[in-house]
Amino acid sequence: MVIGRLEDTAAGAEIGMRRLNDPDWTVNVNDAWVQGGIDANKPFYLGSNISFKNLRSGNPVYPKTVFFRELSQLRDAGFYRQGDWMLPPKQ
Amino acid sequence: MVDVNEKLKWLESVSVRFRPKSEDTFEKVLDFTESFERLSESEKADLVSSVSDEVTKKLLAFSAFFAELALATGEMRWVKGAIVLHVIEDFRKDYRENFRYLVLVAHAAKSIQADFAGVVQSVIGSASNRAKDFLNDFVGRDQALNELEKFGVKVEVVNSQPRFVQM
Repeated sequence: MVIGRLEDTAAGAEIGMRRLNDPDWTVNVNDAWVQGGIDANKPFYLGSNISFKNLRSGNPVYPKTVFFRELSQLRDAGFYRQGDWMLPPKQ
Repeated sequence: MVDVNEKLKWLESVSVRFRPKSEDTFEKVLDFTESFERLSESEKADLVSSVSDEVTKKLLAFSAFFAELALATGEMRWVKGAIVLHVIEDFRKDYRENFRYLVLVAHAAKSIQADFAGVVQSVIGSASNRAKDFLNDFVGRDQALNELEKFGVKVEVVNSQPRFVQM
């Protein structure tokens, strides 16, 4: 599975990774998709760099990007970063 | 074209970290969207391609501020301006971000009984093919998907002004 800014996850999708690209997209759908990967203990490839510009929107309505939300969800589930991957917690 | 480029340059200097306090700032951004609409097709494409990553974030932010202004004033011009900001932003990085902000605009339009889909159609001629596709996707999908709660957002009145806040 690949997460990040949609523009950046296209490359992952081209080599067979799953990304969420759905015209019926909502934040709830996004959360459920990430949760599905968490429940299945899948590693997540980071399609985008973890950088300020990719994580912060810089305004008071939505201070954080969707990518930030995805990373937070993974960290809350115990996933940890290794290189360009977020890996499931060690058993 | 010179005029609209100057307005774009001015926009680069505007901070959106907090909601701008001056009404004049919102009027100037709205004026920028109206100037954009008056450009020829090729000039629009040139302007869209000249927008920096930092400014794209500001365009999205102002679309949210415009949605709040539409709620506060009941004026449709803010709804139209907000959609034009997405046309200029061009859905270039991550359409999911655009959808998060368009939900706010659609909510504001509904609240003031403006025809959101009709306003989108009135400006879609200014959009790139990519932006057209995403705008049509957004308008055409089940409208239950575009409700605020699906995006974890609600409206609160703060200092007598409607504000979109996280649930």
